[in-house]
Amino acid sequence: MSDLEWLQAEAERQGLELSEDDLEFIQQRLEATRSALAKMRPAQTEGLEPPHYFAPKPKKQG
Amino acid sequence: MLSFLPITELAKLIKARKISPVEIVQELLTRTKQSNPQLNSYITVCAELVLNAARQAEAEIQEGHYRGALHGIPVSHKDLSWTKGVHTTAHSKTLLDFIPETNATHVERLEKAGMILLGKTNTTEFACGDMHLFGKSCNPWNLTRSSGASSGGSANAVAAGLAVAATGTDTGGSTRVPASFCGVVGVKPTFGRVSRYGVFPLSYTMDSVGPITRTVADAALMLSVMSGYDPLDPSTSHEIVPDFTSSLHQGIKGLVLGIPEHYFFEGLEPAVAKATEAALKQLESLGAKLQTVRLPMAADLSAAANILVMGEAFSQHASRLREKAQDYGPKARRRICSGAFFSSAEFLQAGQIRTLWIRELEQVMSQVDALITPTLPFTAFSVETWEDSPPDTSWATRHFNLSGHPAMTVPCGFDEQGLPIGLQIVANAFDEAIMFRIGHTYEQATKWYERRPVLFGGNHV
Repeated sequence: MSDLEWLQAEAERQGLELSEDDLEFIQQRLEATRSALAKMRPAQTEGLEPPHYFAPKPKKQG
Repeated sequence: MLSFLPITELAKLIKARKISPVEIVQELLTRTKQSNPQLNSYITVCAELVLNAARQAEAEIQEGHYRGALHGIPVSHKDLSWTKGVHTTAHSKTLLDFIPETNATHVERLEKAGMILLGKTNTTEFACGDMHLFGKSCNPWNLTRSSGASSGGSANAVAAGLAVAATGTDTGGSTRVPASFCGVVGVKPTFGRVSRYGVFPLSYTMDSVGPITRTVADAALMLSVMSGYDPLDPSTSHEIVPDFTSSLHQGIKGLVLGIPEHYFFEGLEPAVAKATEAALKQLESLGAKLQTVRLPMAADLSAAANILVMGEAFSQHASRLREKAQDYGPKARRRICSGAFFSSAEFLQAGQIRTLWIRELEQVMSQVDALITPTLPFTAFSVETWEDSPPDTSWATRHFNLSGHPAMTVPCGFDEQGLPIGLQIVANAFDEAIMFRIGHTYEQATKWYERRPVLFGGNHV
């Protein structure tokens, strides 16, 4: 199964009505993003959880 | 011309009863009628509503019930924010008939402070697509150029004197980028500072609502009112909201400003490089200490940000997309739907990259009062370029949506074609007061904000 066929099947599974042009655009976007992400794999993956609540903390005084 | 005066000046005149809110509104409506067909700033103009509200404000003030500096001041909200009884389309065919029964929290708070709704400004579809239904918002400094997105209507309306002040939303730079392109002030507050209740979401961990204004003092005034905990938005913070205007005049002597040594200063158009260099010298001459800082991760954040934004956007839009995908414009449909196909491993890896970036940035921010960068490496490009293959406009801005830090753009000059250039100021979390102080001090020393586009009755070509 090609990437495009997989995308088509997955779109149908998720109930999304997408044209071939849509899927081709999405395929290109996924490829570009995935290859950029692959270059950014953290060397150490433990302890990188996001905070429980996202709001950043103010700077500590002193 | 009243339409180009900042809120702080208009407020003095209104309080002293030298002008009426009705006069301001009438002038803005005349200018909007003339120029909106060229600029596409507005999707909806609330002419009758705003005139009635102006008359009511005038009566209240005459009776001695002056509510403060925002009383009787017209405001224009991005058409992504709910406005009670007024169409809110998000520039989407799926929402052409949507009339909210309540206001977004920031709309409500500004209204309680006395601001009156002038209209709903143009946006890209759901803040990530095209402007295919109501026309493309153009740049008032050169109508062949883009106003930037997604809050392009808010920024170009303020720049062209079709609005006194506006609000926008910012997920990767959408207040700062159009504000920079159009030569006005645009603010992304700290994540959690301003409620997003009643704002169509794109990314629930990165969306922010902020003011777009002519001056830093106007932005500080509005953000003081817009901010604060909101039980309707659990992501809002309980942090105390200071009066952001109270420290504007303290100057910047002794403040430490971090200047990143790579990335943010690479590949700049010559005019941007020159204007930024001049701005740094100006800040130094005003008493700030410039300190070189290193942010090596800054260059590689776009993939992580894209996965997070589109994953979160799809999670929000999934039900509407299942029903009406073909009613979305192609750009919004394709971008948002791309979020349906990333794996959970990829989404969580993007989150890990974000955590590493936050740690790197916080380490730097603990040593400085603010960071200074260009807002964009280029000035406004053509409308066609924006439609076909725009360069990365979140180049220097997405970083602080990922981290949640407050950031703003202030005008710092013009290129040889007369297009505005923006300077970005980034502060520590919940320290918007310092950000405004730096911006105000710089602005008052340089007066870039006094230049107005000649095409719309201004003073500068």
